[in-house]
Amino acid sequence: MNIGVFGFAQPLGVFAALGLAPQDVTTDAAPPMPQVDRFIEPFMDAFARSLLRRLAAGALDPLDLLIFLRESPGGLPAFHYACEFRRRALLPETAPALFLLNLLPSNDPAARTFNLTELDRLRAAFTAQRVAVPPVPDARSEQIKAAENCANAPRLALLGAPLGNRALHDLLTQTGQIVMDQQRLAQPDASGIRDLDHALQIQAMNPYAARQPRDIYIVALDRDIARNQVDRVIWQVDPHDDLWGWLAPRVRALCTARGVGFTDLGALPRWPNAKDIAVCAQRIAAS
Amino acid sequence: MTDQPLPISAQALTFQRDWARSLRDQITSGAGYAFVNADTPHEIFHAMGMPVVVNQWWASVIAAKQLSPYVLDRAAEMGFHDSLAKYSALAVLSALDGAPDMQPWGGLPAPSILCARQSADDHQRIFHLLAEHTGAPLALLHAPAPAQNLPRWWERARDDWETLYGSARLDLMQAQLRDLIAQVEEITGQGFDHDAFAQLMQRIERQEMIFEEANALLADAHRLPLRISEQIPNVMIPQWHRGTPWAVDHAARFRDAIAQRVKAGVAVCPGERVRMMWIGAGLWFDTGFYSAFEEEYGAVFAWSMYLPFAADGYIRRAKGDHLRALAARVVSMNEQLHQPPWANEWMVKQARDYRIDLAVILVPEADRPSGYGTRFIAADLRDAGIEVVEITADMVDGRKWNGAAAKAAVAKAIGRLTSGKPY
Repeated sequence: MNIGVFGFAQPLGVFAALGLAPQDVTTDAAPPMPQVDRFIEPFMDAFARSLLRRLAAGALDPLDLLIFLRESPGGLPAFHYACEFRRRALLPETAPALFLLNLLPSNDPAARTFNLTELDRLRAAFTAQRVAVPPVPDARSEQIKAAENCANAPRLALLGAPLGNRALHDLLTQTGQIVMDQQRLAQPDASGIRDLDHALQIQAMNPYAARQPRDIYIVALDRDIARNQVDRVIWQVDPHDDLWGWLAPRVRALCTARGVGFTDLGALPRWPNAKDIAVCAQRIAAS
Repeated sequence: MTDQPLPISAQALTFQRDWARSLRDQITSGAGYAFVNADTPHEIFHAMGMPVVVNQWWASVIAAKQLSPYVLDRAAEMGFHDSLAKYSALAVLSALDGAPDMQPWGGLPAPSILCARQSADDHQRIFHLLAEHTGAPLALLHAPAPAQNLPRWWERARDDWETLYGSARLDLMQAQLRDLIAQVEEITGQGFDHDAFAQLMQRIERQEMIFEEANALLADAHRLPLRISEQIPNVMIPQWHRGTPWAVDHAARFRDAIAQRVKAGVAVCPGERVRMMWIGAGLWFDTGFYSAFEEEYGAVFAWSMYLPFAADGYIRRAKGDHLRALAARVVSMNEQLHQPPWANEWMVKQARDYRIDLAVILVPEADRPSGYGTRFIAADLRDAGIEVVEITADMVDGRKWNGAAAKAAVAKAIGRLTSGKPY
């Protein structure tokens, strides 16, 4: 059974504990698709828009099941629009089954009960495939390796909304080393997961999760900036951001208090092109 | 044409003014109060006698006092970019700014508790800011979504809500309500009276049934007997106080006043020839927009969501478990107005009930959960033979509001409907 997953901060440890290794379909770009674009508002989450276009074009037909992560921004509208497109016969008949996974980032007893019920529902939707090793590399060890490779370059933290390509990363690594990447940190490290319970706990505790109900982002960032000896934070958001921008003044204030540089690149398309990156380069040079 | 407001409208506004004055006196002299989002279970606080200030109501007060441009400009100076939500954040931003002369009542004192539901991605972030600023504890309710948005929600929601919303979600919400009750008990030092709560819930159901009767009278009236600008306060003020004896009585007075007008053949616009619906939250900084097309075009805004949603959005028959019925009322409250197919199906049904010719849809770009689904709504209304105008604007941000352009767009659509018709 071919399973895809849409959304950031994927619960890979949970998936592995269930015997699932879904294919990440979140960040692929897609060309316009007029028959569905007419229903998609211009402020739709960029990754959701891309996914909906690919679904309508049949690009995801090889999947049997597509999981949407409710706790990832864009996951819920993507699921609802996909269901509505199916209802309107705008998806190919061969498009995958659509499944919304609610996995609450909380360890309180009611949330835990709810999460286990959701996972029962998910189990019923797929044929289990044993997975020996979680498929993600440990983002932190990658960062450490990168840091060791260029020890004298400025140490950068790339924070804010997730990106669809590596263009900004490539720009930043021309002059510095990315020692913190929030997009990677939002993805809990699945390598040390013992069992499902442990995986759920790790998922719930992630301070960088977009919809984390506890106010722990700044505390975690303070800790991680110090731990990673960050010299400068690079901040950027989506042009229609309605989430990360609420944190920006507090992140800036934290950086000021810790003597860490803060460069705000402002709104940036999720798949920045050469022109966008040139503007970023100017802003970084001026900061 | 009648420009005479209903006497009961003044009564409602007087009640609200007196309540606000009393609330202000209470909280400025140290009484605890809750600052909550609109889609949270106010009933818990009402049942425990804790005053409630609703975030979105407070935002509408700020906007109506023409203070939103100042607050939003200050927010930009604080480092919040302009694409962030306004309606759910205006009150919080105003509190963060803290200028006493630029806030209604000189500003609110610190609340005893904050309550929000994670129905939008940003609610926890916005309320974290207020919690940090005020030191008040935050009761944040999870908002998982159903496995499927079943069709014709308004038909299932009253009795078959267990199927519609899903038992797992209801279990979760009910557990969270219990936690909230315990939290309020600790703050107030009072126990939760389940019998009194049951009575409150029964009165709320009675109130919403009365509103349903009022809604049917308005929908069936040959010509519109009451403008939406006058409907809204007569509905929303009792809704903020839902289940109080005053609110139930006022709902009845409202229904009876409409019945009298219908019987007497009163019309706000005797030459009515185009019936319009306003889809979205109120345009709080320019409510005059709602009557701007009557005299010149014979076009009336006959529908806004507030009255019909009082019945469809609130009546959840308890079947012996009032707390679970409250969970069913809250668990998808706002989502029903914005998510497909719930929102588009309901809007088409409402348009048909009200014999609508033209729908004007407010599309708030910076409030994405409220903006999502609008193109499905527009498409289904057009398929139902209804003219549609989409206006990109924000319900509380008057800075970018181009009233002249919006009026021109609506007038043009009216022209398409009436071309060739004598007036």
